[in-house]
Amino acid sequence: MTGLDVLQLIQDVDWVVGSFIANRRGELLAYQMPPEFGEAELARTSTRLHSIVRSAELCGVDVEQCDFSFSRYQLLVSRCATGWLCVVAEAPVSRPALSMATRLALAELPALIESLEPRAPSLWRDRRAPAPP
Amino acid sequence: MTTKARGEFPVYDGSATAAADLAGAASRLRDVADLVRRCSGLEGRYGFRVVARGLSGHIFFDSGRVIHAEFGEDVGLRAVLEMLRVGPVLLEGAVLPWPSQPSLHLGPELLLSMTERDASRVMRRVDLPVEPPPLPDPDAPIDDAAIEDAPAEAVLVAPVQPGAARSSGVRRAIRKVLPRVEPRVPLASSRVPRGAAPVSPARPAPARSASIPMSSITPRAASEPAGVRPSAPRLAPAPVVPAREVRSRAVVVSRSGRPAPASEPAAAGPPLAGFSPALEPTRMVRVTPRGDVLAEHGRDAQQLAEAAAFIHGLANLIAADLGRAGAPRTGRANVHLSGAGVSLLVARSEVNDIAAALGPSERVASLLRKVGFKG
Repeated sequence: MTGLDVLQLIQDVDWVVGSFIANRRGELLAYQMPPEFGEAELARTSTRLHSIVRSAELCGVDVEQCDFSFSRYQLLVSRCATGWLCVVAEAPVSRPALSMATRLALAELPALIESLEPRAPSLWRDRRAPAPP
Repeated sequence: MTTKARGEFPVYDGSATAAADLAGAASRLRDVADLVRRCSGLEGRYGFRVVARGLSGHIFFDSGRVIHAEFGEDVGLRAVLEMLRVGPVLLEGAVLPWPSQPSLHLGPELLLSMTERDASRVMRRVDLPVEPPPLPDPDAPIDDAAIEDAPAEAVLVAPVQPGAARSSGVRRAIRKVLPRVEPRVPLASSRVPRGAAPVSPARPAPARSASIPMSSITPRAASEPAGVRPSAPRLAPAPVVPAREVRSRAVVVSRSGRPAPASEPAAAGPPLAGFSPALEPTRMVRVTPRGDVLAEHGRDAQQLAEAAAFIHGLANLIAADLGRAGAPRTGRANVHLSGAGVSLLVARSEVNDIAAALGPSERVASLLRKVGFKG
């Protein structure tokens, strides 16, 4: 498993809507979400997640996991050494299956985030560039 | 599939006679059990909107069998059982399109047999207190030992149980703060049979989903490995387009075109020195949406109250951004942050207060179950 396959790994779990990755500063790095979710919304969400985690840390919680529940959707956020993996799922999602997929993805996440940080700009893709077939 | 409205009841594929019979009988049907019995002998497809006790939902029948149901936040069997348990209901014509995929295959006999046997086992995912606990008397002496020995939920759970009789004043107060249930829009289920084209919608797709040009989405950096299924389109009410065009794809965010994220107001101040929530009694607060502290328990509750109000506000913003088009936005985003055996729970109660609990995860477990974080 390499690169962005970790997001596909999450996507393969039933009832998962999509997922995205942010670095430890709350900056959106990559995402695999349905088209109805815009990049701006995901970037805002990543920043807000960072603020939420920061305020929890001020209360003495060393946050490793963060779960949101709104209506029938859930946002499940897991921390790794270099950033955050955020998964949007619908309520009937199998938590054990998602937990295992998340653990597998988290094992690959530090290397992926490292590759997406500015030190490795060659891996970035300009969104305005024509998409290969 | 076309939806044909006959009287007040949209009938999907049912006969005109049966539809007229149903519409006439609706006023005589007392509850969903009656409806199930009534529809059990009917061929064709029928959908109803069910309203009861401030909740609404839908139930769909196909050849006498319940094939899908939604009620409040519940879907599937849980929704049906909640409908059966709720008692008298108001039946209206369905406003949702026919579900793209059945979630149930239950015959009427089995379903009705569960009303007495299994309904009591159904637990609601959100069962927050309906009344705030009485405020502590500031002049009264505080028995610290008694408070610390009390179970975690004792501070947050109302003294009046949900099923207990309440005065009319309390009922009026609850009615005022309960969210108004908006009519549901077409089912936004993400379940689409793999490999199948999306179902033709009953209404156009939300503008938000159409506002993102596909050209702005870059393909995955790596080619798809063999044996991995492509991600399926997750919106049922979408225009009929080839499935390949609406599937989600992995996108690497371009830094050159990405604006700097706006800075959020972060809680100020350093972490509490020498404070370890794992060793402290559970701290709890109740805060009004405007930030007034209604009740507090434990050390440094003021900071917890500030964090709870801040987190809840941001969580609602996240819910507004990530709540899918068509999903009801109740403003009841609940948050659970955990790590190293410590949990911080921020939840909205049914009286619109913000309740927060901070302490060892084991002690907060019962509260987590109440707001649906752990089953």
